[in-house]
Amino acid sequence: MLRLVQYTLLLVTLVLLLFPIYYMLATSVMTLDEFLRVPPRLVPGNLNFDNYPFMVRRWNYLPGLFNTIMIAGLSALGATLLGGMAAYSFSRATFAGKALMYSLLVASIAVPAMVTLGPIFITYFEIGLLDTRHGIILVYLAGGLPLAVLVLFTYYNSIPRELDDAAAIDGCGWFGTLFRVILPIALPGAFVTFLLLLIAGWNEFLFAFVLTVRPEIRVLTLRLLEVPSGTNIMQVPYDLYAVGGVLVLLPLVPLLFRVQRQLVTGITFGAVKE
Amino acid sequence: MTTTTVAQGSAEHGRPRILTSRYAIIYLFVLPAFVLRMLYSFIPLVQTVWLSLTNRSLVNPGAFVGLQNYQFALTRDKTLINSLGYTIAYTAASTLLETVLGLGIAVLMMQRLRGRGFSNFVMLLPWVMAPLLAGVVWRVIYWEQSGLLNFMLLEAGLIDELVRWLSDPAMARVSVVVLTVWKNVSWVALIFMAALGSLSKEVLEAAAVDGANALQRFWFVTLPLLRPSIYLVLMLRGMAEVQTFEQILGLTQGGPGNATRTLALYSYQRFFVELRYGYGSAINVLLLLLTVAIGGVFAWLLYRSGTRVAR
Amino acid sequence: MSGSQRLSRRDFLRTTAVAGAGLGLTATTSIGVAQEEKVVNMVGWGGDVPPEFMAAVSEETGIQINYDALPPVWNDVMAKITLWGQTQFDGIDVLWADDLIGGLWGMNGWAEDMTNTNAWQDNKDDVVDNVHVLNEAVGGVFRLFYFLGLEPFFYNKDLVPEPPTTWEELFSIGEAVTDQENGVWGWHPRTEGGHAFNTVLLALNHAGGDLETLADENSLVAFQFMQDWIKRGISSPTIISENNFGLAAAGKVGMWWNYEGNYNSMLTVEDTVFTEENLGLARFPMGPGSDVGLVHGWGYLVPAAGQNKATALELMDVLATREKMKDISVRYNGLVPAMNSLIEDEEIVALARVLSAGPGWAELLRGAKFREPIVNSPQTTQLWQMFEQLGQQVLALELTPEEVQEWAVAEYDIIKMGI
Repeated sequence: MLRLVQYTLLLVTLVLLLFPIYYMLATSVMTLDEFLRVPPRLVPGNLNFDNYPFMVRRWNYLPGLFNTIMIAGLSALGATLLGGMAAYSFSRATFAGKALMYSLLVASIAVPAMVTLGPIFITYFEIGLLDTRHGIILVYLAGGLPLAVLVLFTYYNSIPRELDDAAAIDGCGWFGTLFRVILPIALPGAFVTFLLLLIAGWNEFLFAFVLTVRPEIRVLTLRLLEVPSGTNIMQVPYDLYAVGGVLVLLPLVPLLFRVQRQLVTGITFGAVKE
Repeated sequence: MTTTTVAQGSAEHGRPRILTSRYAIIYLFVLPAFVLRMLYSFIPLVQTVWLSLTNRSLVNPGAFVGLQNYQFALTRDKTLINSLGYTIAYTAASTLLETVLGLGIAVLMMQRLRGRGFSNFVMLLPWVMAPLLAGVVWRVIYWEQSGLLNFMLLEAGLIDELVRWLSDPAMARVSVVVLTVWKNVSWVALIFMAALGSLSKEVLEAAAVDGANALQRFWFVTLPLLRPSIYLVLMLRGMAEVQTFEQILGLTQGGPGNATRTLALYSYQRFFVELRYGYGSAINVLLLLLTVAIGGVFAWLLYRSGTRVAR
Repeated sequence: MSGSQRLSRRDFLRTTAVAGAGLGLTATTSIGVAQEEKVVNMVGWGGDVPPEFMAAVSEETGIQINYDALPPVWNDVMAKITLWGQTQFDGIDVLWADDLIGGLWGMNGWAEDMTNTNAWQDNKDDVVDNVHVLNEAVGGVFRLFYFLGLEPFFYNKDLVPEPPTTWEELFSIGEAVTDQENGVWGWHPRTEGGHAFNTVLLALNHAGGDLETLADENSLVAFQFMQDWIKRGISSPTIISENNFGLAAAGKVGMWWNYEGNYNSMLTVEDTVFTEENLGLARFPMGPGSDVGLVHGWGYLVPAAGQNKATALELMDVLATREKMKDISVRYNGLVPAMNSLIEDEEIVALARVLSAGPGWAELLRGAKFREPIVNSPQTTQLWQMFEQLGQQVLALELTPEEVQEWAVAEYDIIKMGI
């Protein structure tokens, strides 16, 4: 009986969480007329996949996807690398200003993105970084650093110091310890950090919207606002929006399916253990 | 934070460490991340504060005006006062709901149910969805005369007349909270799952032996042990929700009227849509103060609960 | 942050050279920059037809036109275009701009004034009066309109045999039509996101409100009038968040306003109840002040910062001609042109059925104004935001008309103070 209640609750929760995503998927295979019908349909009458090739072509999906992968990927990679290096120092060394620098890095989480956006926009405009790929990559990279430092700092700290000592006896220095002891153990942690930052960069909208202008370098979340009109220019093409939404989300799904376990560890590592 | 020092080569002892190359390397490892982060957080912050003291805008090159923007905002700008009120209410409501529901889901998921991997996967989907996209999808679901939600509720007999999800200001304020909770509750649940997993079994079993029922065990044993995690979740979610921008942009764009215009949307409107850099920055400073206040309070509670548990 | 700086990402010297040539070219349009292949980056609005039109123009002129379309949602369009203007983005040589975009760009010096170009001088006598009134108000020719549309009053003749001529009739007819049980509404103006400013401007114009202050009695009358739509039950409270198109096409709305292009759409959409017989069009019912409508339009705008400005202006000479204006209208299946001679052109009248509907286009257009005071101020976006939020706040019914007015007056103050 208890089990039945538990499974029912679980099912209800999962259905509620999944429903809007299902509806997006369903809409993407409806025609606009079918979608706009009153009363609305929960299940598409006919599967209409024509919108997908249309959107891939007219919406320039592949260039947008390329930009997203480039920008989210490189910034996540950079943040993991720089954050990992900093975390190594924080974890395995004492130095003047350590507490201050660590505190400032962590405290910078409390600075809202909206507060930094205006000055970054103005500064970028003045120094010519506006509307460049590396400009937006640097923003994401800097934004990802606190998480990268936190997660990897925790990971490194969980590695026993005895291993360091043993390595030191073998004659390993700073780099030797890093490559022989820390990295092999911390690599899964770095991978999870990378994934978390990749997802964050993938979905970011605000900075990308303000800091990039040229169509050539715009990412997929921005392209969501640039869905082409369908056959009737007076109607908002909701069917095409849904296709766009699916196309933005889709590349993350196989990734998510494969790594959901590590991802869960990663989220909790960054948050729970300080 | 650790204070353990790595075993250092004996050759380094007795020398001023600043001169050793090892010491330089330590800084070389830390400084890129540190400098970059400062450049993109605290430096813009200072710029924002400075801008907020000027009247820079599309039509003004920008002169120092002291606290004029703040004075105007807090005494004459009703939109701002409403926005401030809604931001606080929205943050409190969505953070609390996420925490309570997230904890509930976590407890449920920890009952050794089958299909844990699949459940995790489904739970993560709303969380990996771009917030803007989530807003747009929910807007369509919320359509009043032709939308799916009202249609299904009518069919199920749960409502008699159409609910005005987005056109009624009071209801729209709630609808936005629902979207936010939907989007973020799984993240909270995952954190509580990890926290629950790390609780000591002995304490729980001891309580069971004492004859406490499941509800009592949860209330008197589990919950107090979870306190640090709860504070942590409240802090992180509170700081995130107070800045909510994208999903509201997708859902209501701050409407109807100004009903769901959070501070972030409002400052964006002033700064980027209307190109009032000075005034927009003043609103941003208010947003910053609110974020820091939330972060500060819960960080302090977290710190206190941490030390108490440790004792 | 204003116009003095440009993006430095492209070759600066080349840009300067082209811009310099552009300045020379404004005076003597026949000199081209022939040493390079001529390219124009154009950003437009709409579906599949324009690329073909542009391809034809391209072939004829030898100017390669790279055409890209704007997003279909108005708020997104506005946000994007503000960003382009603000950053002096140099990647657009021709922008399709409506009166709002043209106002923002023109009044801030981001757009070329084309008063002295052949493109304007040769064709201006044929352009409809409403455009001349607008150009007078903004002090320049910042875009060449290929399309001039209207926010007309529609009605469903099956439900409303005769259109109302006064506000009181709007209510009485509306009340007779409304059948809330069956989801039928008397009056469903278009007010959802991004369109509320039109509705409130219409009401203010009809009430004779003072658009420069909004502080007068007549403005208050307009706000009260709008709230009464919902309070007296002729409008659904959901008008603020939902488009009226689907409902109207299903025969569930007695009277509404929507853009003129919806006349064609309403006749052709799947499952529509309308034919030309029962789809009514009229002047708005007379308010205490007037019954004038609103017009809007789209035209070609040449950004001041465009890197191929000279070529763009050269292209204007071709695009602004009657022949090309007609061509684009036909290819758009009856986009309403902004030239008097074309409005009467048989081929276009046959396509743009709205031209011959109701009391006739000239009668509908009579006295109709562009969206002043929004479009003739450098603070276009601020005013647009204000009127948009004003319209929404009135219809949200959370505030009394007096409170809304108080809000609007304070908001106007901030705009005028320039902070």
